Amino acid sequence: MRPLLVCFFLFLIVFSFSSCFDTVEELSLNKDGSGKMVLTFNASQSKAKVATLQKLGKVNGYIIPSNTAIKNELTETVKQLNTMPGISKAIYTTDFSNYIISLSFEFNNVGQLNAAVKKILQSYNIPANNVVQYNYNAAAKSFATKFQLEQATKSKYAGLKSEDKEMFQTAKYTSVYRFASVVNTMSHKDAKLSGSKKAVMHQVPFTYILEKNYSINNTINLQ
Amino acid sequence: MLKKYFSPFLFSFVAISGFVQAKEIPAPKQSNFVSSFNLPFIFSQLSEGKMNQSETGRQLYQALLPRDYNYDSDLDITKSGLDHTRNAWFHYVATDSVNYSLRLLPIGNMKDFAKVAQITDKTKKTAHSKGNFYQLFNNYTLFIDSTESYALLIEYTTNYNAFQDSARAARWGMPYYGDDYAVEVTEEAVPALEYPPVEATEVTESEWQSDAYRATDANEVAMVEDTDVAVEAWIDTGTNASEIDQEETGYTDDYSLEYALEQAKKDSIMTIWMYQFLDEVVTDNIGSEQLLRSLKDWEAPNKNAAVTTYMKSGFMDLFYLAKYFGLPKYAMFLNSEEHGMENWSKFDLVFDETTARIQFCTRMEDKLAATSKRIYKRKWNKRFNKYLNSDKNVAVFGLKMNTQNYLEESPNLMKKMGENIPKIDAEIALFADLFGIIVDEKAMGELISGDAVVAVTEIKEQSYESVKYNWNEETFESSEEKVMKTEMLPHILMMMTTKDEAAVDRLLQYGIKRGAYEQKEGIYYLKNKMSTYNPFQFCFTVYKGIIFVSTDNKLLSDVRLGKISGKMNKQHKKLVKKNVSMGWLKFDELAGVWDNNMNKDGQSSIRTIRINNTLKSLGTLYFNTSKIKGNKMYGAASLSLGQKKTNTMEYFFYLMDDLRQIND
Repeated sequence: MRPLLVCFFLFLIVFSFSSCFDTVEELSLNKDGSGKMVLTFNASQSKAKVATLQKLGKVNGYIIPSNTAIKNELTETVKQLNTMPGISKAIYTTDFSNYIISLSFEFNNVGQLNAAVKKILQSYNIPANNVVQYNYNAAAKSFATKFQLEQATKSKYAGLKSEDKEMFQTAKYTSVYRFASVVNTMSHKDAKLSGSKKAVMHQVPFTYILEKNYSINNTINLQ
Repeated sequence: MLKKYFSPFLFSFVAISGFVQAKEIPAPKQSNFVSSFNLPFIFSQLSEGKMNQSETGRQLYQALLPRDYNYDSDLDITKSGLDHTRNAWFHYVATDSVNYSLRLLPIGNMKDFAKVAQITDKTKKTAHSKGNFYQLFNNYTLFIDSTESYALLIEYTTNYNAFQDSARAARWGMPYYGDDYAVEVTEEAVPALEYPPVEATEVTESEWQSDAYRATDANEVAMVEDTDVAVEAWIDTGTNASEIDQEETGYTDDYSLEYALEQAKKDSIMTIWMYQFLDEVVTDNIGSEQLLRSLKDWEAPNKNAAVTTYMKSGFMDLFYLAKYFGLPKYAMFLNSEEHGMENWSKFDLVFDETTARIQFCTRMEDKLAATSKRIYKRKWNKRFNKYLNSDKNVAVFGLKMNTQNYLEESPNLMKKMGENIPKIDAEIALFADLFGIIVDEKAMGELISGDAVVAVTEIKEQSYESVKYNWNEETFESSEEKVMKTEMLPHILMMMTTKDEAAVDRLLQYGIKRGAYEQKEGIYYLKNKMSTYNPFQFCFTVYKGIIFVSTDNKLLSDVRLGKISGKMNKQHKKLVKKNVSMGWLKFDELAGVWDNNMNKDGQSSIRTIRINNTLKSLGTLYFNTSKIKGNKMYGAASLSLGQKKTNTMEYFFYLMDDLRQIND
């Protein structure tokens, strides 16, 4: 019976379903360099596909984790984060009726934030260099992000089959940085400044980063 | 021992003295798979030039030839050197030590063929009374007969555990490491070294001995049996253990060096076996078709078949496929004498005027045929037709089985399989007996009769909620907004006949009691305890002796209200009446679905267009397996391509080429 079901679900995945997801990174930074980070993964627009993939367990050699496995991983990550120096109140939320997962924590300074983000990526076997590095200089009132996608990751993406790449076609990465002070200047021309001038948002399709060497680096000077 | 070597094979064809075919290319006496490539037919449908232009055609053709993976340019089929007016063959011979893949190639132009095989003056060549052996690149060994009319191309894989048989290890002068490493010896690599069973051959013992004597002629490849000669032959093949030194192996300690020497010796012995195998093939000189005719109730390939494959042991030979992919132990299930010449399967890849199809014939020995007849003794529940629609249903799969008979036959089938797994045969027999005692076959047969159908009734737009973020322009704080999203999703309907509605009802009521289901107006719904989104919420009901399972509750509601009137056309009615399993899949119907989903999300791409075009071109796939007639069962998977611009084979190759482009 299982082979029949597998064929059925593969049939659905091949001939049906669109795929799309959002990744949102929200950073609220206080003047002293402490703050809060919220990372959200929203696959609600592809939930028919995600639910079907989960029924299969493994597709094209990729293991699709069950909800329980996802929860276990998140629990472990939160546990590790809470033991890290300068990191506190790490929690996660899951909404499997919409496939939205969120992880948040507070940090005492940006160095600890960098370490925490690196730790999260490591625990999911993502090369740690593929991470946004944050820099905050309280004296100079300057905040900067630096990100360079690893060549190995680019090659891995390039080597994916078309149907696997398709899930990135309409996927979006959103970063929101909120500050206690007003933003004076920012270097990235595509980033948007909020009406209050205390927040910067940058939305970019994943394919820009993966395929077009698009830079998301930004240097923000605060008042 | 002798019987063991000769009896288990379907193709244990014996050399019949004085029955040598001049035209046919010599073939192995026993093969697990035999494929015939009907080159005259193939090239009557597709010219060499067109085949050259087709990526699929070129790659399939190339599979016949020695393949140089470092070769930059594509093969030119017009200059392959093969004779396209004669058939080519593929034989796969599995033994417990060496597995042989042998291609039998008709040569038309030796000069071109030599170029493709990269035979030069420097190629290692060994003379044989019937021709020459060549050691090619990538470990291919090639034999070309002295008239240059055919070639035998061999690839082989070895299993070092073959020497964990004490007698064989002793015979070949190899160390034996005890029973812990022992293998189940079922077939020798070179079974012809033993005398054939007298009753199975017309060859006399003296003739046989003379054959063996001939093979050990000084100028030919050694055919050896005792240890001394074996070692001598091993040295003659050019691999000398003394030549393998520390520097060559890179090993620095004595133990590792000794191990390397031992492996090298094993390789050499297996090379000897391979040469012996080839020697027997060319000296026995029996053609593939002549050997295949020995199958009981043999059937010739379809005249419009491009490729025909024969496999031993009938439809249960999936186990042999498993062996082909490296699961030898399980493959031995049916490797018994009884499953010799009587059980076989044939697959034809046929291209006729309007269809491309794979048709198969499975021949079973009397007992198995009788068992199968019992298992499939079931009439189609005509009430199913009321709920099927030939126009609307995208895919249908139907099966007519007799659950009671199947359960009654299961213990015997289990025991039969157990007989060939000596280590756990007693356990299997015990389990089979217990199974027979515990299971109430009649009650199970009444609960689920065994005839069933699964259908993708339609693919229609369904909506679900998704979450999008709205960003406050003043603060960039986010708020969630629930938006409706639509997607084309299939609806599934499954129907099974039951003669015991009361028992099914009791089971469902028990589920309700345990909180697994809830019931509304006679329809049962699975409870979603995990609060997880599920695009396929199955519900079920029982109505007039049929268990209905579906993703479409409205459909089930209509069933209960008697609002559904099916529409099965004559062709489909005939299909379900005449066969034990059957169905169809409308590829062309899927084209619109794919288009709809992709365009909606702005994901339409070249790939989408290609998939759509291919789906539209594929038409409808029909598949069926017939009732058993005599000892045979027939079936087919048929694609009605239904176009007249070109012949179906050419069209099929174009479609395959398009499919290959989808992921580019």
